[in-house]
Amino acid sequence: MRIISSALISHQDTYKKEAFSEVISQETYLESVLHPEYKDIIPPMERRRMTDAVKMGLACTKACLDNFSEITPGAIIVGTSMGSSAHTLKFLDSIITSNGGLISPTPFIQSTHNTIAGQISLFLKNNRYNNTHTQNSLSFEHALFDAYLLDREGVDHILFGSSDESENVLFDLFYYLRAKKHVKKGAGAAFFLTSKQENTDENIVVKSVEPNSNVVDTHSILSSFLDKNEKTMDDLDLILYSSYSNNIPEDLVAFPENKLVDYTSLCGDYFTNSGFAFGYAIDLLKHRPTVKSILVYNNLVETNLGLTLIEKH
Amino acid sequence: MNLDPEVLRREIKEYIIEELNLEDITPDDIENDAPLFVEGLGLDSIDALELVVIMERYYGVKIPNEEVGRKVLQSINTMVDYIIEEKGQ
Repeated sequence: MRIISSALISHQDTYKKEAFSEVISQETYLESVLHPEYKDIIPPMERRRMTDAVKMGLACTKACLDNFSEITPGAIIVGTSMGSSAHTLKFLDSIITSNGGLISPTPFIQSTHNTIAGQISLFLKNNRYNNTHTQNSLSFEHALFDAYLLDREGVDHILFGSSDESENVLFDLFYYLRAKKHVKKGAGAAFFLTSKQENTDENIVVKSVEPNSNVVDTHSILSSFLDKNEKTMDDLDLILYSSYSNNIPEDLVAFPENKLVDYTSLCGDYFTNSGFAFGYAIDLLKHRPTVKSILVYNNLVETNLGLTLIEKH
Repeated sequence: MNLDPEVLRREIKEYIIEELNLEDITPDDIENDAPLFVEGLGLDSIDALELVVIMERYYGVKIPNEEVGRKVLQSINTMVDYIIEEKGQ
């Protein structure tokens, strides 16, 4: 599956920035998401009901299609772990505070996870395949896998990606439950456009993607994944990883440290930050001639392992 | 509750702007007799439900059915008239 366009909104200066991978680092990480000027992208009467997850999704969609205005996406697929969580909390809060009275409808309507994909569909006036995947830390990989399968079935110009907004109450609750400390609270969106037409010059392709849940032995899953793709660790130029423990995963300790990137330190901790890693990998493949093969190793949650192999041909 | 029409008009406009998240609009931009839906502010059916919530939450006034709703939610003035009518009884 070939990727022809990508757009990222993150805690780094990534929106509509070519070769951002060459300049971002842990030091350039911003305390909050660097949002574009949504007033220039979304009409006010539509924007007023949207939370950040929707606005980021729409802005990334527009950026993805900027150079492909003649293209009508054959499918729209979104991965989101929390959906419009700000609206979910507002709705839940209003149930408690309304004392049995009427409840404002907007937060309820807009709190469903598929609001993002739905709003993109309305924005583009596109009524083709539209799907949302909500699978905790593997939400992005499931969206990518859906796109991968559709591509193999012949669907062209698939628009897929992920979006999750920052919500401090939920974030604190999750990290209390996971007993994880000293993390950068993250949020962001990453969207991509595929094409079935090969470029004569250079192609960035998704070789394989595997979302694995209820994982006990990550090592055997990684070995099996590499075998299936006829790869060894030596064939990989870079591994972008996230780790539930905040340390380098044991599977990767033998890999040269200068070829390992902890992407959570670049974009912050949120359940779909592997979407950022995927976009970061594409930018690296486009702009760093020596890098031809990248593995995204997503072990943000202990029992989930997302593996994505992206290559330049 | 202050039932002075001028005060009510001002209050309702402020509630509408806040609850409907109308950016770049001030109370002075909303005309008292202008239609709230389609023309004028250009509100839609979800906004109609929000207006019903505003009437009940802030003024304790219920809109019992669609027919009453259509009459009451025409403009700021019709909303104010209905509140005064209901609370004055």
